[in-house]
Amino acid sequence: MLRIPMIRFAPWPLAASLLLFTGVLSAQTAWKSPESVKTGLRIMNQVVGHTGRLIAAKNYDQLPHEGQEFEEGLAVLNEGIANESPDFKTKIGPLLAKARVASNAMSEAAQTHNDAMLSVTHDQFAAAVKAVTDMFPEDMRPKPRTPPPGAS
Amino acid sequence: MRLSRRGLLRSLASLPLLLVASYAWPLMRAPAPVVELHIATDGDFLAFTPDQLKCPTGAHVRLVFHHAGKRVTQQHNWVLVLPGAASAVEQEAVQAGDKHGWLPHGDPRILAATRMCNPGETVTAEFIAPAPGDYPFICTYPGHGAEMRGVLHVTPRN
Repeated sequence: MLRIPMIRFAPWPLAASLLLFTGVLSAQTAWKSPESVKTGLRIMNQVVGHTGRLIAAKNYDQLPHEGQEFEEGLAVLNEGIANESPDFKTKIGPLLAKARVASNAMSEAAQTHNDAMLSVTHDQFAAAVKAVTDMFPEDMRPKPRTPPPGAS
Repeated sequence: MRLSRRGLLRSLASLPLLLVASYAWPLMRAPAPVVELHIATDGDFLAFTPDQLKCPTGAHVRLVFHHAGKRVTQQHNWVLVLPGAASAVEQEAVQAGDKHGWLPHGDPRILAATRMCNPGETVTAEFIAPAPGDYPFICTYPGHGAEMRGVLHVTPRN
């Protein structure tokens, strides 16, 4: 009679391997300076919202100041990604450069007081900042904030 | 029942006493509380923390506002306004401009305000808490009010 050898299921080695694998995976995806990244992204996105409101209110004089605020946000983000992998930095570098160009273009367009041009440059600026933001996982992106009821 | 002349005179004489008592009664109650409220910017972000404050009506409020920003060189203030007036006051502030500290001074819808302050600064505003209700507060620097706003809950006094 043919005897089939019994294979005993041993859960512990499997669990240990799984744990090890998960640990390696999370170490690979852990960000070196997550708080700086979050702060930088939030400031940059804050500038997008703020400039949109200033353009809607035709408050052009404040727009160049927002360009400076954007630079400060960008500096914080650059600090946050300074120790990330060269591969990641190669990917995000052109997006950051594009966002900076879009921010400068908006500051320059502010001097023209041309609503149509400002609207277009703001859309480009918003898209460029979104492209940067999308390079990061959901939990690092800024969350929309709702003021408490009665705050109007 | 007829009221005698003496009775009538007594009643009339006690009238001023009653009037004085009715005016003095609220003053004889516990004195108005002194309340110190603390609020700050959420670091460099366009937000107040906390975004809700509470005090009893009639309290002498000393509000301490700290600009907790470190990286972004933007100014903020804290302005308490009448319910429903936040957006209108924000627009008026833009008209007031930089030379008036982005604040329409003398606007009756403004109940209390600090001056504009820079990162790291702490400023104060003192005021008597208005009637019970929910009062919005905002930063009136152009464009900030849409995000930098909160509510002061004024409760009835016990």
